Amino acid sequence: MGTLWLLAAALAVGCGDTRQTEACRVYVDCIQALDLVQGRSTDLARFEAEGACWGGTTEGRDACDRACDQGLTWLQAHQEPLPEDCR
Amino acid sequence: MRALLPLLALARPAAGHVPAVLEGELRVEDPTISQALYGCFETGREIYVVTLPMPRDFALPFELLVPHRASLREHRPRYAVAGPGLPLPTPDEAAALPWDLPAGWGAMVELDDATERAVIFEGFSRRVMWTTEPIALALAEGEHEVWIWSPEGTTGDFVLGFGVEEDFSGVDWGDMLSDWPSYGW
Repeated sequence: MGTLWLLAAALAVGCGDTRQTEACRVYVDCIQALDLVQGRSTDLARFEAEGACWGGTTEGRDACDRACDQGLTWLQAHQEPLPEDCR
Repeated sequence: MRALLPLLALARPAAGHVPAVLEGELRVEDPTISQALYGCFETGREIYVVTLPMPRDFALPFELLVPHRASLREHRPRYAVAGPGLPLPTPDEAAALPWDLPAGWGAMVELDDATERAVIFEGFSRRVMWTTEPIALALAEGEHEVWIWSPEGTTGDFVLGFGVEEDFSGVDWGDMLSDWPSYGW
C-alpha cells in the first residue's frame, strides 16, 4: 500500500515543478503596475501562474525564471518613474 | 537526410521555437509565436534587422546564442530591441547602437559584456551555446525592431530566440530539413 501511495504522489507531482516562480510573480505585478501608469494592457499570459512557462520542460521553466529576473533588473535600471511594485 | 527525422522529432518539444534562417532583414508576421532565427556574420560588418509588428501590448523573452566553440570564444554579437514605449538606453548603451534611435523610440541594448558568459544546452540544434541570458520585455502594440551586430567585427554563427508559445502549424518541414545545415552546424 505504501508503494502505491508513493506512486500516486509521484504521478500527481509530475516530473518537474510547474509552479510560477517568485521572479515571474514579481515581474507580472511590476508590468501590471506599469500598465496602469501608461494606460496599456500587456498580455502577460505566458508568465502568469497558469502560463506556458510552467507547463513544459524544466529548461523552459528555468529560462522564463531568468527572463523575468533579467527583465525586472533592466526595468529597475532604466524605467522612470518606476512603480513601487517593481522595486 | 532520413537520419535527421528522429532528431527533429526529439528537438521540437525540447526547444519549442519555430526555426528560420536569418539573412539581412526579416519581418516576423506573428511575433507572438516563439521563433529561433539562425544567422551568421560572414564579414562582421553586417547589421541584421528583424521587424516585429506587435499586434497588441505583449510581453515576451529575448535571448542571443552563440555556438560554444573555441573558434567563437571572442565572437560576442550584440543586439537591441527598439521601439515605441521602451525606456531610453543609458548614454553608454546608446553609443553602442549601430544607428540613432528614431524619435519616440526607446531600446533594450544587450551589450553582452559579462566576464563569464553563461552556457546552455539548446534543444533544437542539440548544441551547447553561450547565451546572453533571456530577458523578458513588455512591448507596446506597434512595430519594433531587433538589431543584431558584431561590435568587434568578429565572424561566426548566432541564434536570436524569442517568445514562449509554440505553433508549428505554419512550418514547412521540407524547408526546415533543407535548411538543416543552417541550424545544426
